[in-house]
Amino acid sequence: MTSDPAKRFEDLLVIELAGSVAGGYAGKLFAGFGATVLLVEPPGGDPNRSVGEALGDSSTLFAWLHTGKGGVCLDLQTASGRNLLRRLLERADVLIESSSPQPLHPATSDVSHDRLVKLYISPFGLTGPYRGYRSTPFTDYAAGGQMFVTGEPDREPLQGAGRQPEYAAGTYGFIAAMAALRYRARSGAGQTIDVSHMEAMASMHQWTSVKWTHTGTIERRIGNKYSSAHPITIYPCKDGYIALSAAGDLSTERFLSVIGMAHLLADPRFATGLDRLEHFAAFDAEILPWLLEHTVEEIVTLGQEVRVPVGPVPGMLELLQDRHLAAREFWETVEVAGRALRYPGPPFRLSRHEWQQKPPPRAGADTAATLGEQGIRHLDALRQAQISAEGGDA
Amino acid sequence: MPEQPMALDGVRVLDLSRVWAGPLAGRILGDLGADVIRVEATWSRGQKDVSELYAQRTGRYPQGKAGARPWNREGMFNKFNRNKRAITLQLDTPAGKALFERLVETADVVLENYSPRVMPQLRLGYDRLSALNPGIIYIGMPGFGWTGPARDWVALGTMIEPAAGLSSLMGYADGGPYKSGVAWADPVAALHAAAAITIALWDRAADPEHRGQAIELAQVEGMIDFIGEELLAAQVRGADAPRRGNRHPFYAPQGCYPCAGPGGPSRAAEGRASQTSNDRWIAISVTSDAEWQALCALAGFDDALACLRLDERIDRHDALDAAINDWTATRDHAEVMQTLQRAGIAAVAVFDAQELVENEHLAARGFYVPITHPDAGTFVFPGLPAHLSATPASYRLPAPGLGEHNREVLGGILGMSDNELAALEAEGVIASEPPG
Repeated sequence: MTSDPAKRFEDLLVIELAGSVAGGYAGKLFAGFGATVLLVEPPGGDPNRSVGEALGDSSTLFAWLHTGKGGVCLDLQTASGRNLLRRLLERADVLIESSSPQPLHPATSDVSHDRLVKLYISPFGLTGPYRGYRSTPFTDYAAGGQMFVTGEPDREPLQGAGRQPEYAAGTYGFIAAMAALRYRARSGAGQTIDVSHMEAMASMHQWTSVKWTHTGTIERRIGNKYSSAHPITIYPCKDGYIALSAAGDLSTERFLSVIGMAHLLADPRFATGLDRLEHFAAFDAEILPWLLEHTVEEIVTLGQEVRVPVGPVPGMLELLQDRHLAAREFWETVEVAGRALRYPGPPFRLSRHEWQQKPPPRAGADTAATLGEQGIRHLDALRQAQISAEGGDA
Repeated sequence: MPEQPMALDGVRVLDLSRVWAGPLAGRILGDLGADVIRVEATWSRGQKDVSELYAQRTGRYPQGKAGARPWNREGMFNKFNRNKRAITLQLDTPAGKALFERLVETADVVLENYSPRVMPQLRLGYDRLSALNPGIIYIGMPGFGWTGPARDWVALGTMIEPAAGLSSLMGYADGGPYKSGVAWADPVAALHAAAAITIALWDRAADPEHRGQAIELAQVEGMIDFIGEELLAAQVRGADAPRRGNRHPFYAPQGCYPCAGPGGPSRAAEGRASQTSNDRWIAISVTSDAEWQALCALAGFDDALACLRLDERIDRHDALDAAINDWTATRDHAEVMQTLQRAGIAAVAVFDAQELVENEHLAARGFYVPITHPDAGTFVFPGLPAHLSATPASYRLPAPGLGEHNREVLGGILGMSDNELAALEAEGVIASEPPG
């Protein structure tokens, strides 16, 4: 078996077929850290170009997910389109195919280049009785068990924020693809990876399954709280909301002391985190008047000074003004459709590996020209493949 | 038969992390084949004695009982630490620190989730460790990062989710910001940590000098990236979106509808949902006119409803919810899921823990895996949600007992003799039981 020469991350070529947010985020991580990612869109463009607020020929969702990717328009309904894709994949290291809400029927299942890592991400995966089921981000929360435990006990369960299941599945997909590339470097062999939103979500619980398997206890909704101790919650205050996570008795003691209510600790109903959880309404009634007289800034400062985990609960526009994130230069400016937008920065920072976000590919742009403008290093490979395909060389 | 190859064979991780975010990151690497060695303080799993009352109330000990060696029996720890070995080491003693430094010389990755002050205070920060081993990959995952005015904030995942803006996007339409039922920021940080480590491992393999690097994972930042499109949308609109409960801007109707359960038909529509007797729901998301018409046909709704277009369905969402409630309330949620899915409608039962663990789909995919632990017994745990055809995840070791591999690691890797280990134990540098 042959092993790879030491190929740099920047030399990786990733072919991403336009699909779901999950596939888009896996591709975004590759592109952000410098790999060449070509987004293959059908004629008429990726449907995600119209999801979210409009931005020129695309949308806020598309513009977030596809930073720095090259755009390639291929009609995979035609033989020449499929042939061109096959040629592209001969040079590629990773293929990403994904789908949501519809199930994934891979366009590349018959492609078997020995060295290719094929990453498939879909709501329920490629096997099993639900493989043909549909799921939106909303129903993904139900499938993975998060929805059942989120919300008020006497009301309907709640969805999470935005498209978390797809981001989670996309990140798992990225990890698995990198692991598979590492294996390929040793063995010369590519492989196929199957990631489902449902399993990704089901793997992201703290003790939901453990309580069932260990004691037959079903974790249920307990409202805007946490099942291990109280107060781990969001409280209203004078000018908004604060998130208090006094998980341990010591941090509760510190917090109550600093707000001048240490006497509550003598009350047996409030002795431990689980006691306070059982009597949360009485506990909250004691401290709410104080909270409502103080601002987010005052409470967070006071709490953090005595090492209590307490923080703000910002909305989007407020978050964009956050002093800490500004000081860390987290926000990056990316110009999309003539508009300078502040983008969230990297999910993590590597000391010897740059991160970058360039504008997303334009719609319907001529494939070769788009690649040229983006300065894509694999342009030659694509040109060659295109010429071969046009010449009917199957 | 040659052994099954593993993607991360030959990678050694020293896992200093605690609770959830760090341990899950280590578990993912372990599932993929890395040799993950937990380095734990002797007191890290709490006191020697756990009261039966506490064991029972947490619901996380086998059969609710503390039992013998309770520090090795807690289910959450055992879930996040399979495929790892464990040693105890007091890093705040000179001997403990010296041994750790020798281990670092043999390792590829150091993973910690302390506050940013801890490792530098122990003089075990990246600078020191990379001087010992220039190939070392060091990852710290503090809540707010290594710099900035909030760097020293005490943080937990339950507070990162709100701080990253997610809570503002959640909640009932008539209420305030809301948090997930799980500490969602923790597993998200775990995934990003594992992703970062795979990049750094790649870089090192490609580097002629085989250099490692430092990875700073500010949990709040990675969490914000999971709602990146919402930040862009708010800028374009110039406003935050309203809180919408379970609804969607252009899938309608969408909601969580009550179903029949052990307690009979749901009475949620009368405002009398009782969680204990009847907590069955179906999540439905209608993404097109055709799907809506199909649902109406199955539910026997009249044509006046079936002909509604998207904007009309959005306008009349409350009335549609009431009609759907009436239809689902007498039906089993798994049955509704099947019926609607057959018609091509995204409908999924709102699964509880038992339904997940016993789920036919997950069973067919081999998702929950049985693991036998000498002190805790045999339980199923979630497997790795990525199925790799050539290098599948393996589940080869149960979570380690406290100090279980002191001899194997400190003796086997560092060559310490039994006498030296006994002396370290006598000095309290290592231990196989928590302090009394």
